[in-house]
Amino acid sequence: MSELLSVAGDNLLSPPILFFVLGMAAGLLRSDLTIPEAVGKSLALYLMMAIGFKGGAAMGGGEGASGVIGAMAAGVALSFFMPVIGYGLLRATTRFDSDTAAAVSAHYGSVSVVTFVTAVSFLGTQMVPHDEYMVAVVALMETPAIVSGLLMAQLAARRRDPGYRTRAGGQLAREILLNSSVVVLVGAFVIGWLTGDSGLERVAPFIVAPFTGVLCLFLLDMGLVAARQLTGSKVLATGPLCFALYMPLIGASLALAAALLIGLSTGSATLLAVLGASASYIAVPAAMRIALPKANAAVYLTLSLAVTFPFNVLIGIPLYFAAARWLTATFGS
Amino acid sequence: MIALHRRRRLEVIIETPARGLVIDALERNGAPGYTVLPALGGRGLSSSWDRNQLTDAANQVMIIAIVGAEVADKIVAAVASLLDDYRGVISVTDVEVVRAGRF
Repeated sequence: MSELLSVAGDNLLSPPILFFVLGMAAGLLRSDLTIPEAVGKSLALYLMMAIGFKGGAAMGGGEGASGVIGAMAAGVALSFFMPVIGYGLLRATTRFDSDTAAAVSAHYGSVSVVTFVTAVSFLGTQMVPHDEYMVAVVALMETPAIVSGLLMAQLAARRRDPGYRTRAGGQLAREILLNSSVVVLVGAFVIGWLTGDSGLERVAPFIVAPFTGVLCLFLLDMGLVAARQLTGSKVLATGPLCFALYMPLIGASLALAAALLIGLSTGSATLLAVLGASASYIAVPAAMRIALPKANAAVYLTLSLAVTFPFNVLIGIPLYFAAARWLTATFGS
Repeated sequence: MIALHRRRRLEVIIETPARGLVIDALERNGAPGYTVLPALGGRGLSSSWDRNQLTDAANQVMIIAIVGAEVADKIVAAVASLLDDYRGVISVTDVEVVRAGRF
């Protein structure tokens, strides 16, 4: 327990997390501090590009890839099946209609790249290595949850109306397969893989050195956005609020069980748990607005961005790390 | 004195994710062109919104097209059916243009 508290303390006192807290405090106190939308989006693109490129370069440089297939399969399965669990829990514990429950559950099956990046930075400060191919797992986990969430919404709609058809099929397919996170992560990973260590050396002053500073600035923005989403929300009934806090724990537990089964290291198991616990707030909301326009967008944005993201960043990451370390030490091969 | 010609100006404010659906309705029904403008923020019947978000899911855009009366009627019907599902407003104004052949 004292070890867990020490790790949690290290996390809370790291610069990125303190900047996140500063952003939340400024937002809650209604400061006029703002980071322009275009800057926030550029910072997110930078972080995805940097993490994708570094992961690809490490793989291209010959770093071990044993376990990559197992980790990818586990990621896809988690992303597809977690919305099924989430949907069932939401329908049982809240008054959400089927579209809103399906949309919310899709967010919790998909992933938050920034939570992953924050966890990578945390593992760096703990000097715990992880497999670089985990970046590819992030990209793979973005979309199965969207498909799964939509399937549940369609099943519910067809029970009500057998002639039900969704609109926007082509646009939705583009949004699912070619959203900016997937394109940048996969593209940067492939470029890093092709160019290897020599490629990384050439872009290191841009990709490696400023990484933590950019993460600090982005988390400041995330704190502001999360606080404003929270203060502007009227949807925080007890049931949904509890869901946004216990669903990450369910996702992390399932991911840790999968990590043990496929024999991941402590670092990679922590990252898979973070992916299982995190909820999307960039790619999935746009897809859900197109596919399920009757679902309440304020609900899924508030739960994923204003409740689950701060929970994971402040408490979840050190908690999942402590659990992964204990599990791999106790049951790992 | 330059001759002016009567046309209809359609102004659609729609949530950003549905932008492609409106543009598709414009093109399918014969609009020769359109302009998309970003909106900074606003308030509707139930809530307010602000552009300063990470996702475009809650943002809105304005789409302007100038067309003849017949095309305008078809586009209004198509966009009105989208407004059953997506947040938005469509308005129609009579305007006068200089180059009639373009609209």
